[in-house]
Amino acid sequence: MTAEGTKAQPYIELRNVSKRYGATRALEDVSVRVDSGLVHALVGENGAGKSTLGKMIGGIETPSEGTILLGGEPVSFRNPRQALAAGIAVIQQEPALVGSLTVAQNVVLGDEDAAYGVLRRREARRRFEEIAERAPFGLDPDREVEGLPIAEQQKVEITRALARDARLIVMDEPTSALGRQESEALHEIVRQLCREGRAVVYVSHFLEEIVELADRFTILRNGRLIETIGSARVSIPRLVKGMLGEATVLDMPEKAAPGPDAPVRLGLKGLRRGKAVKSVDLEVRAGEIVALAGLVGSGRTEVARMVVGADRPDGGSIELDGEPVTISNPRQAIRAGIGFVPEDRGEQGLLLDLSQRMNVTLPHVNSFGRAGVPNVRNEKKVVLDLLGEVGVDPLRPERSVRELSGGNQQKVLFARWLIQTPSVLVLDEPTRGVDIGAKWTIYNLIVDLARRGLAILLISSEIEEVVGLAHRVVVMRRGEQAGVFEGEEIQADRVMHSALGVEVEEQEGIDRS
Amino acid sequence: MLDYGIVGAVVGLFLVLSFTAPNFATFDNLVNLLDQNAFLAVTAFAATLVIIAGGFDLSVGAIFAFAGVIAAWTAVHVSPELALLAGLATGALVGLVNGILITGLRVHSFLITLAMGIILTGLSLAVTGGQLINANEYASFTWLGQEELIPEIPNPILVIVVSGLLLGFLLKNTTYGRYVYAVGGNAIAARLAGVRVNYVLIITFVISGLMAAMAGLIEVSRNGTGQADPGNASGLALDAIAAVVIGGTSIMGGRGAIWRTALGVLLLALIENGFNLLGVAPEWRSIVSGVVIIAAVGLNALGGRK
Repeated sequence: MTAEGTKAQPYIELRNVSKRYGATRALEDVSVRVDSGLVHALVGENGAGKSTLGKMIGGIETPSEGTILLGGEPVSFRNPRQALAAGIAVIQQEPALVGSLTVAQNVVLGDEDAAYGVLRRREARRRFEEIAERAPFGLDPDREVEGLPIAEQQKVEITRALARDARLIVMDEPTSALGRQESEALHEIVRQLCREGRAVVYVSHFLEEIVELADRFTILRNGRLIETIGSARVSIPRLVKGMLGEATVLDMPEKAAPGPDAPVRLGLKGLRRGKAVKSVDLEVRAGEIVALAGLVGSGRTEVARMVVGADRPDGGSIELDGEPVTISNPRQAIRAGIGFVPEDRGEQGLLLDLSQRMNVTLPHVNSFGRAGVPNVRNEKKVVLDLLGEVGVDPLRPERSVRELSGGNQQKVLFARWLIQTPSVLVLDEPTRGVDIGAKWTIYNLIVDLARRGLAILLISSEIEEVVGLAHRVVVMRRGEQAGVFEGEEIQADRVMHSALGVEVEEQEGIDRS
Repeated sequence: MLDYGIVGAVVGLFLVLSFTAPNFATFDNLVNLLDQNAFLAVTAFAATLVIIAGGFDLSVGAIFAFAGVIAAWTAVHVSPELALLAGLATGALVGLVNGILITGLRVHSFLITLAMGIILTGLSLAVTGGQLINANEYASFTWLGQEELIPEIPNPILVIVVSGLLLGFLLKNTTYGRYVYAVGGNAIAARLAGVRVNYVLIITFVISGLMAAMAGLIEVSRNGTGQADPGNASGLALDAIAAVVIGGTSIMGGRGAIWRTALGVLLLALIENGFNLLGVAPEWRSIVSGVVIIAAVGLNALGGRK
């Protein structure tokens, strides 16, 4: 760890920056100073704005408001190329490399040695070797990047940053795809970069690793800056508290737990798939909301995709009403009574150019007519009622879904499952990118659907949503079940600690009493 | 507004030609114009479905020729009564194979149908041996292209109307049609909503093959002869795609309509016919047609971006 006490040089400073996407505010009035020679961690829940902040530093996002100062001078990066020229490189979660080019070609990409447009291969090779000497990652310069493990690709990215002589490197969740040893190797590299006087902005939700690595910690919550603290004063409980806030449970609809005799609708027994899901056992009863909590990449979405027939499990079984079922595609899942609201509504849920009506009825068009010709008048009537019920506003079912706000789009997806109510409903991040008002409506819808006897499997990164809605919480961590919480045990910090995989002893004492 | 640009273009050109081109606005000329473009209209109608579903069918020209050859061969060697049916069945079968290969191998339709076209061209040559197959003597073979079920209206025009209405209904009013838009608009979302994406694609390519065969039958029946390389076959796939996009159907899939394609075909036909009547050199026809295509897709792109 670099000593924070030594005289640090400010490299970049963000003053009162904000970022808005339409109605949603990703960042609000945040000020941060990043100093040379230090590891600066950005922490927060999913959606807290830490990635947005990282991207802003790297020129990938431009602030809607506020100023960025570089060496005391205001700058505005309009694209990553300008940020690079200023000595700032970004290494994103998914390495941004050209798979069909070699390691060395990727390292010099965009900054090739050329004479009048003709590549000077020998010069490029010499430069690669020069950098490789300073950062001995053991990369084979002639290997195609395609097929390299993520950890190796990250080394290519870091080498590339060094080739540009980046003074500040932003790393967004660099270890989320890495094993323990690879992570530690990466940390050693990060420390080395800092010893050379470079600054590293490190975005991560693995608190233990951050506490070990970083010199400074900026905590964000809901797009706002909570505080920036030094390594002398940091502790995991303090970070968690900052991330979650004091009063996290908003106005949630009242929970109505199902009776003890409610039948089990959905059962997962030892369900697994590849590395993403090692083993999951859970049950959802009629009228029950079971939340699948955990960090992004912990395997939650993969579980959902198996239940709804989007992916096939490698092993284990899915049971509906106690009977094992084989679900090999989404159509079968829907026929078996499993509805799905996917995580990414634009990519997986909606047909943006079609009307709201057609989006609502898509899985059930056949029920609106005979011989394959839907009765559109009837369809319109039903859809109008349903969109009114879920609160789409303004109510214009013939307009395209694209014209709607995120919250309204999500309501359209919910309306889809009110036509023929399924017995199991899987919701993956049902309130992502949705404004507060729509959130509230959706929460009420979820609770209402549960009251009607649906078994609901809720996947959410928003801890208050999990705590506020679920009757039971199953926490996943790196593909495995890390914990189950019921009733009074469902508390934000406990769920969070379980998801993060950190032990906090004091917590144990209090709750066991 | 741009959405309906094609309507304005067709109406405008029609009016201009009515006043400038001698003999343009006559019954005979207009009937002739439609009759001559029946093969393109019929093919382009089906191409509309394929493109909305997110695919391309480059084999339609070869199907057009092959189905004609099979029909003529059947008329001569098997039975003239079965000739047209055999041609249609051939087209449907080729479409089925296209669809199965595309969905089974998960290869882009562009590639499979390109290869299929090459195969069929070879098959056509193999069947004909490079010769014309003369079936002009069989009335049950030539009625489609040469007779008039309704007085003064050649049968190919009836085929345009019937196939246009049928495919329009299929696309707009049926579950299948809804799924075509869904598959082309967002195949992942469609699948997760329980749509049988592969099945929809296969049906669409069967329809495309069937209609390309119908187009081929119109031509062989009109000429009374089947041949491996009829003049209209070579550019058919691209002409059909051009007509579809001029009409305003999105080349990216998910958006479009049959009536648009009808207007797209009409616009191309009007340019050709009008320039002919005005005595403009044929090279100008090509140049103007190309410019019209760029203008149409350019306007669509600008419209989509607002």
